[in-house]
Amino acid sequence: MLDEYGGATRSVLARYLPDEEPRAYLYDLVADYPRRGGRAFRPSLCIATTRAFGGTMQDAILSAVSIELIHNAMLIHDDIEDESEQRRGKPALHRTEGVPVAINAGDALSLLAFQPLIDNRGRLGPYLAMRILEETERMARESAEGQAMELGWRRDNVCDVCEADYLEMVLKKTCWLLAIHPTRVGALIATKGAVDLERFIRFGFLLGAAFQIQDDLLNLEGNAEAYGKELGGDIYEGKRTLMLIRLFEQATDSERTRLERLLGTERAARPLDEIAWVRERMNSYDCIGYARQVAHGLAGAAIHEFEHAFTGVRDSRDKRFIAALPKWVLSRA
Amino acid sequence: MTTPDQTVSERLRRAPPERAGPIRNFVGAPPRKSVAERAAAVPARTFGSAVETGVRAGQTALKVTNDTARGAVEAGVQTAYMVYEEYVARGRQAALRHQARSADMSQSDYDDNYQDPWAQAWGPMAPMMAPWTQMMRMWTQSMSMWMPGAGEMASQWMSPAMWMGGGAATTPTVTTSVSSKTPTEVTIKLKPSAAGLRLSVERLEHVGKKADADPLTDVSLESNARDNRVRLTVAVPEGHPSGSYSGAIRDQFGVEQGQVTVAVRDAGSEG
Repeated sequence: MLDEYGGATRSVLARYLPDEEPRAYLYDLVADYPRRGGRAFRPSLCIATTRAFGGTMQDAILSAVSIELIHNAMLIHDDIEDESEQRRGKPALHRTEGVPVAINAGDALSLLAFQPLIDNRGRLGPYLAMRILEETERMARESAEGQAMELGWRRDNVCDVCEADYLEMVLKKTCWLLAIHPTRVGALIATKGAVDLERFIRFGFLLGAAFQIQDDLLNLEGNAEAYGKELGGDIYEGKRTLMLIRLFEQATDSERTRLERLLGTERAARPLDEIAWVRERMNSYDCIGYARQVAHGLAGAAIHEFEHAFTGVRDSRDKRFIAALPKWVLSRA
Repeated sequence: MTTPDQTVSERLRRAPPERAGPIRNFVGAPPRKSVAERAAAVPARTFGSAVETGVRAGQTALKVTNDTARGAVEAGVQTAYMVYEEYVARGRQAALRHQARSADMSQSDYDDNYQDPWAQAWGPMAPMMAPWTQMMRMWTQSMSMWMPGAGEMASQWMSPAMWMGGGAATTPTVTTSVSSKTPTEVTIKLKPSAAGLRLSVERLEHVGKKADADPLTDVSLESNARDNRVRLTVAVPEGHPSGSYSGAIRDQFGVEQGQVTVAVRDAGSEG
């Protein structure tokens, strides 16, 4: 279903990528990340939710396209902010094009995402189109707040981040765009606003948090080719992952001091052997096992919340697809 | 601001902000307690079966048998529900604060907003939507300059009634009040896109442009955007030359939304 809905999204999305000058400095770069592929999880979830609630793929496709465009725009900026080297198995955009040009391409991509939302008016009518625009504004704001939390923690080398802080950051940074927004928009489209959207926050949060922890785990011990990013990059970047937070909680005083000192240095100045030491300590305290257990618990709770969020929705292929997502996010390699 | 005696390295070195903990208090919530403190303070029944189900599902998937893993799953899920509850509570507080601010608005503020159909359309979202509305206004107006027939489309797009109604707009209901010593016939044509807009009418010029025929200037149009009603008042001065007089009805953006035509007969003719 990811292939089917992702393929449909990509074919419509291509129409929104300008094929004109300036190509070399903008539009070829704007099209770069979308053309690299990806699972199209977010647009697929939007389409599946619309269909599960009785709508059609055509009703949801423009919103799905917008979601995928915004996702790709955020990836460009995230890669710059995180100083990432790779994205979807290739060098990150700013590594090949430079930071200023990449930032501009990200800006352009995020603005292009508004055109399908404006075009929604033709099929969905002005009221629904405007409601989806409002939802998009909220999602973008939540995502920016979550990203700000994480970047702020790293800039100020905040070392007393607790699990609740981490989950709140993930709720905003990851869950809104990944799951809350696509399900809310999907239900909004299909029911024309007749359904209470708050129910999707809890489901989307638990699903998204399980997804993020699994993603962080893959960064440590995944298959580099399948993962598409450099392994261990999160430690280099000093990301406050659940594993790192757990390590801070479990470490001795001297280990904690050493860890704080390491994270307080510039990324480029972090010695390889120190990164290896962090990884070894994570193993020693079973931080990875701990995070995996939490992810499974969250996925289990997401399964429970799915029943609430989709209560009264008749059985369908789309409903079963969404119901299976909590287990799917944990099985990603 | 830098001073000449500062070295480059001094200027580039920024003093770390004074702070005692993570920056995570975005909406003025009280400082956070530790996970353990908060977990102890929250009654288990707040989460109830959701946590139990989450814990069970996680344990089943992992085939958890030992207490350590069981504790990790339980603590993780419980913390997640706690974060969610706090998040929702802060959202409610923010909404209440916003409502309180709205209630504090002065009567003149209220009247201004009441008269602005866009404010009615967006309700409390109006201030936030203002930049977007302005952007769309500029976009539609610039589009209508270049595209034949786009003016009408633009005005329909910008009609708040289109947004409020969730579909095709309804032409406003019109009432007229005519004061004239001579038989007078009034015709009003309004586009459906006029619904919900703030309308006004220009002075009515003689259609044949008779040299001795002054325009009808005592004409006014009141529009009630909320009820989608329009009231036209026309006064024809005694002895005003007969003939047909016409003027455009425009919205607050200057887009023509209709026309008023007043046919003034001779005193002896039948209405």
